[in-house]
Order: sequence, then structure tokens, then C-alpha cells
Amino acid sequence: MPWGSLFVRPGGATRDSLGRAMTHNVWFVAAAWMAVALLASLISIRVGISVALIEIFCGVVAGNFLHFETTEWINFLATFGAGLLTFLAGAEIDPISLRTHWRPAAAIGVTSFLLPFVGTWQAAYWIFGWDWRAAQIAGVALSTTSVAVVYAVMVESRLNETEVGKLILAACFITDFGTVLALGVLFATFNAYMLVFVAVLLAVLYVLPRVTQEIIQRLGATRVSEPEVKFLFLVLFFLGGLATWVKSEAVLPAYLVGLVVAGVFLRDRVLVHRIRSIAFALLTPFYFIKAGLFVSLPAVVTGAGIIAALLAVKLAAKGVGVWPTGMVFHLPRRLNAYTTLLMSTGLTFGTISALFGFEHRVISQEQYTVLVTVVILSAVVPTLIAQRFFEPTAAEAGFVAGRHAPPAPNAASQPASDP
Amino acid sequence: MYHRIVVGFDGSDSSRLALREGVQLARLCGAEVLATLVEEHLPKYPGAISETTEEREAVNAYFVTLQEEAEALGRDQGVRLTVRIVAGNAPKLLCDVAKEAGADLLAIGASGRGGLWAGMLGSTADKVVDHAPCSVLVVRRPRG
Repeated sequence: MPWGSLFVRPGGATRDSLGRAMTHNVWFVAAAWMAVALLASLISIRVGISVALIEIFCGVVAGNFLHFETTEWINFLATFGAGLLTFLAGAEIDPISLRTHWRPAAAIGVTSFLLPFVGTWQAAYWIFGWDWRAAQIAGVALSTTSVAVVYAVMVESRLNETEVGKLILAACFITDFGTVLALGVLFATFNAYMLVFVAVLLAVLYVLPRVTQEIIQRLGATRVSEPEVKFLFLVLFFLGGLATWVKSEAVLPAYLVGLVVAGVFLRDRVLVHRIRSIAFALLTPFYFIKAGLFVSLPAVVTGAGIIAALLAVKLAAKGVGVWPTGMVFHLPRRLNAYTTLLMSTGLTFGTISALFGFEHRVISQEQYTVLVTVVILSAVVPTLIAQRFFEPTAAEAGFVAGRHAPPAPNAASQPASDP
Repeated sequence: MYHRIVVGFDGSDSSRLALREGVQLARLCGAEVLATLVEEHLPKYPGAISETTEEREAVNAYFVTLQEEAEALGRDQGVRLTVRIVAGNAPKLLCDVAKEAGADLLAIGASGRGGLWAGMLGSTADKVVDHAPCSVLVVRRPRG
């Protein structure tokens, strides 16, 4: 039953006509989705939980009780929203911090990706009987680390202001790069077209920082026409088209484009603000609501055992990967436990990977439900444990007391370079 | 009597009263005041870093005005007053700051901007009274 049928009783031409309009008229459908997005914003402000998570929950309600359905244009907005989130995730890295902490960040980031990827993939295949490709999606979705959740937690402990905090953030980016790469490569078709895609992608990535900077410098005066934003969208659309043409995933080029223009973003905060505004007002609500839409509440109940087991496998695999690596780089015991738990969080890339699997019919709705629930739990459970039992003291974090001051508006935007 | 007074200040009427009381006490005792502003309303479990950074920017802009207000009050009363801005759980951070600063009094408003969670989980004042490392002054607006 489509959601419009909730507003009309059978019988009566006017009411039927209204019901049909509610379900098919693009404006009414858009209004319904935006009403859910607005409600999510209001709830988010009231309860202090991120709008992304609340939008997913609202999507679950809309899908299970109001029977919302997707359309082609909603799918496009949602896909673009996911791509833009991925782009921003890449663009929000501090290149200097990544270079400074390259070795430990790469070691922690790679183990943080690899062990959970292999561990949950094998567990899904051998223990839970998922088919090979569905198990791979499980591996990808549960290998992620949510850099956004990690950053938010570190802001509270002020760890983001320390070198250790910057190292952890850099490691998160490496982990997410592994996830995006796996998603882009595992399900792609390898033929001559793939070579074309790789060649074009590399060429674009090579020239993009210079060209973007050039556009900003030369056309900065005509900003009301937003040439730099349009240019970046053009690049994202074109590379997304190429990626899907070779059966890869558009988030791979989006993340890489974000990474290579990160330096430009560091200098031009206005551009970041504009892209964020577009993303959060119009695009990401469609993505997160859609991500919740396909979660089946009955499947959450029937799959509770698998959900708990996969969450345990993810946390254990992150522990096996990150904890020893942290020891190698001499992280103090308590800080190492905190780091391991933070690296176990997941959210956006996990849902993107699961949705990719569901939309490409690699996983069923029940499996999608299991993965998204585990991903959401992995945002909450390790965070609560880390903050309750392992939050580093100022001394452990290497924090100099009294150093904190309200950052300048532009400085606050850059996670890895906060004061 | 008191040497160092930490005041929790979030811009609410109640915390403003606490700041005034804290500064007046400091003037009488020759104490210094550490006004502590807590960024408590950052979104939990964000889907993108931008969610946190955008909120921080908005909060920081607001806190700059609060910082100026607190510093002006300190200057007017001839009290040495410094401002510290921290992010996270308000009761825990106020207690941590009081401990780190070696404060002998922590002044807070009876009701701040706790919102929904405060109603369900208890107010900042309740928790600070329970866990503070020093005496606590809970300032309430006179009724009626």
C-alpha cells in the first residue's frame, strides 16, 4: 500500500483522485519526503542525536508503517547524496596531518580495514550461510570506520586537538579508503572499459587540484553563479557515470576526488560551506531516509541473533587488528583501547555499502536489514564503551591544559587542524 | 574564604545568575573566577564530519559573545576572570575543570539548557552536586 492510500478511503472519485495525486504527483511525493526530513531535523535538534541517524530511523518508520516508495528521481537524489557525503569525507582530510602520521596511520588504517573485512566476510559465508557475494558485501559494510563518529567523540574528549587524535583521524581515512576501494573493485567488471575508466580517473585526479584552484582564483569574483561548485559536480557526475558504466560504484571516484581537492578545501572554506549546505538541505536526507526505508522491522526481530553475532565479529576483528598495531606504535594501554573502540565505529559508508548490495540484488532485504542494524549499533556501542570506560585523561591525550579557545570560524571546520 | 571559583555558564538566565553570584563572591573574597562554557549540544553519532563542524561553528560564534559578556562582567566588578570553552558532557566537564583548576567552589544555575535529556536523566546541577570535587553553589532565581 503506497503512503498516499493512508489519506484516502476507497470509494469516491475525488478521494481516489487525491490519493492517486498523492502517490504519483512529483510535488506531493517530494513534499512527503521533505516532511520526513524536516521532522528528522526537529527531532535531531531536540534529542541531540545526529540528523543522519534520525533520518534513518524516520526512514524505517516511513518504510514499515507509511509504505513510502522510491522513484527514479528519488533514487538519483539519494545516490548523489551518498556520493557527496563520500566526496566530503575525502575532502575533509587534512593532507598535512596525513603526511605527518603516514606510517602509523597507514598501519592502523589498513589493519582496521583488512581484518574486519575478511573476518565478517568469512563469518557471513561460513557461519551464517550467506552466498559468496552477499558475504563480501557484509565484509565491506562492516569493515568501515566512521570518521564522523570518531571526530565527534574526540571533540568531546578534546583528543582531536592532539597529535594522537590527528593520527587516529588519518587512520580512519585510510580504513575508509580500503572500504571504498573494495566496494569499487569487488563488484566491477574487468574488461577494456575498466582500463578506460582507470586511465580517465587517474588523468582527472592528476589535473583536478590545479584546475579547481585555477577556477576559484580566476572566477572567484562571479561567485553568485557558483562556477566552482558546478565544476566539481560536473566532475563527480562524469566520473560517477564512468564508474557505473564499468559496473563499479560511484563512491570510489567521489572519495578520490575529495582526497585530491582536500588541499583546495583547506584554503577555501566558502566552497566547503556551499557544498555542505546543498548536501545537507537537499540531498543527504533523501539518502538517509532511503537507507532506512528498506530496513524491515520483522527482519530485525528474526535476525537478532545474526545481528548480535556480526556485531561481535566486527568488534573482535577490529580489536585483533587495531590493538596490536597500536601497541607497536607505543600507544598507552588505555589510549590504545580507546582508539581500538573508536576504530570499530561505523555509519555512513557501512550503509552506503549495504544499500549498494541491496540495490544490485547481491543481498536480500533481510540481509540488508541485518547489515544496516549492525552498522547503526556499531556507531553506538563502541562509542558508549569508549566514553564510559576508556576516555583518556588530559595527560594521557597529551593535552596541554587551558590551551583550548574558541576557534576561528574557518578553523573550526577542519577536523584535523583544529586548534 | 574562596580562592578560585569555577562557574558553569551556558547563556541561560539561570547560569547568568550563577555567574553574577560567582563574580560577586569572588570580589568579596579576592578570589579569581574561571567561567566555563560547555559545548554540550553537538550531535551524537553524526553521518558526516560536517554535522559536527557546522554545529561547532554555530556554537562557537554564540560562545564568543558569552565569553565577551563574562569578561566584561569580571572587568566591571574588578575581578580576575578567565573563560574556558570545552566540549562534551557538562556535569563531567565542570567537575573535571574544577578538579584541574584546584577550585574551592563551583557555581552553577539551578536549571540551564539541559532540554529533554535533563528531564529524563536529571539536571546538570543534580549531577554536579553529586560528583563535584569541591563545594557547589546552586543559584536559583527567586520565585514569585
